Amino acid sequence: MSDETMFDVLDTELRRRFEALPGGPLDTNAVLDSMRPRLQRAKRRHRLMIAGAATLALEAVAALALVAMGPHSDNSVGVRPSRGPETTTSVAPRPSTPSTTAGTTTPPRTSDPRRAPAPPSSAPASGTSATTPSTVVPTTSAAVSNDTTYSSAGGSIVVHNTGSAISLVSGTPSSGFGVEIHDNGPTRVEVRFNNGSTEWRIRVDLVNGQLQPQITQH
Amino acid sequence: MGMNADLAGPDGAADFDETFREHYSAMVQSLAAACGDREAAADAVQDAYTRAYVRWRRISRYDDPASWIRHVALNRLRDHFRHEERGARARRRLEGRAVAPVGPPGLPDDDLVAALARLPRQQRFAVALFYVEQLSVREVAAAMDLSEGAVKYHLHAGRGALRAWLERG
Repeated sequence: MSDETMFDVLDTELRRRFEALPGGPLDTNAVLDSMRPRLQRAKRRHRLMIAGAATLALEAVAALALVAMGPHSDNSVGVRPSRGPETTTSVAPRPSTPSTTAGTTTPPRTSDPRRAPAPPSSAPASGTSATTPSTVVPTTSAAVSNDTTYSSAGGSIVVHNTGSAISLVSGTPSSGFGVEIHDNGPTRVEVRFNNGSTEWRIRVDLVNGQLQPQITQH
Repeated sequence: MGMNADLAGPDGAADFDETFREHYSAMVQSLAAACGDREAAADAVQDAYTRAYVRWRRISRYDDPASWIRHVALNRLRDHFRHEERGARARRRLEGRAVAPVGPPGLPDDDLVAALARLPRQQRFAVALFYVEQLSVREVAAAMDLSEGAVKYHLHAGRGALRAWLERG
């Protein structure tokens, strides 16, 4: 007798014996009814788990968004603690093309000292009136942490604040504007930018150690 | 009676009940024959059906949902006995004596289930699924997560061992 025939006979016998095992078919309806509370509990747990996972995912996305936005999301003026020496300024002539400039007042922003105009010039010192366009540049390196930039349509200035006194670091007129340094500390800095028809004034007062800017058009 | 399960959907609930009624009993019997512990087998199958129930919307779309359930039940049963064996080994170590591993409780030595229990685990499950639940080789392979060739090998070895038992009896 070959192995295959042998297995056929064996298969039949094994099937017969396994079918004869005690325990027979179960009452599946009864088992299913008894399982219903367990199934419902499992469903609730599954829902809670999914909801929890979704909440965690949302929180993670929100956290990532906050990190991506970073701490520099506002445009407010930041006046940092005073340190470093007082800065002196000089005015350098600057060629310009007259034009009419209309603009709106832009909020002041903290300056980047690395972008300050580099070469000092032999132009008249601050406190004098200049009708030609010019750039105010520092003659010494300004302190990193307490320079503040204020901008108008006529030009922008950088003011250095030691906490007890303020001074003009630089002033940059817009195209077609001339610059006039009206005040240069210690409690007020005022610079006027004029193009013949419009004058922009940037005035910064030091009040109780705080800078109070005022930018107006005349 | 439908399960009225949101996850399963109104039609899916009826499908679930139908699948349960069709396969539950055979699954329990085959796994009980394989492991010799009817209660553990029933727990494993019920646990598998519970897991299927909460995922029924997905599982009901499978070609053979019962195959997925059987596979899960088999794994649950393996986990159960693995856990039991670890516990027994730990107890033996604590008692400081080496005791030969014993089979599942309540198996009479002289019946077919006892003969089946003496087979290696893979052979045992293959034989039980093939002869008790009367699955095809392909279905056994799906349940055991093996190739059909491997299932044929285990069936051949298991049948050889049981033939010896039959010839003695």
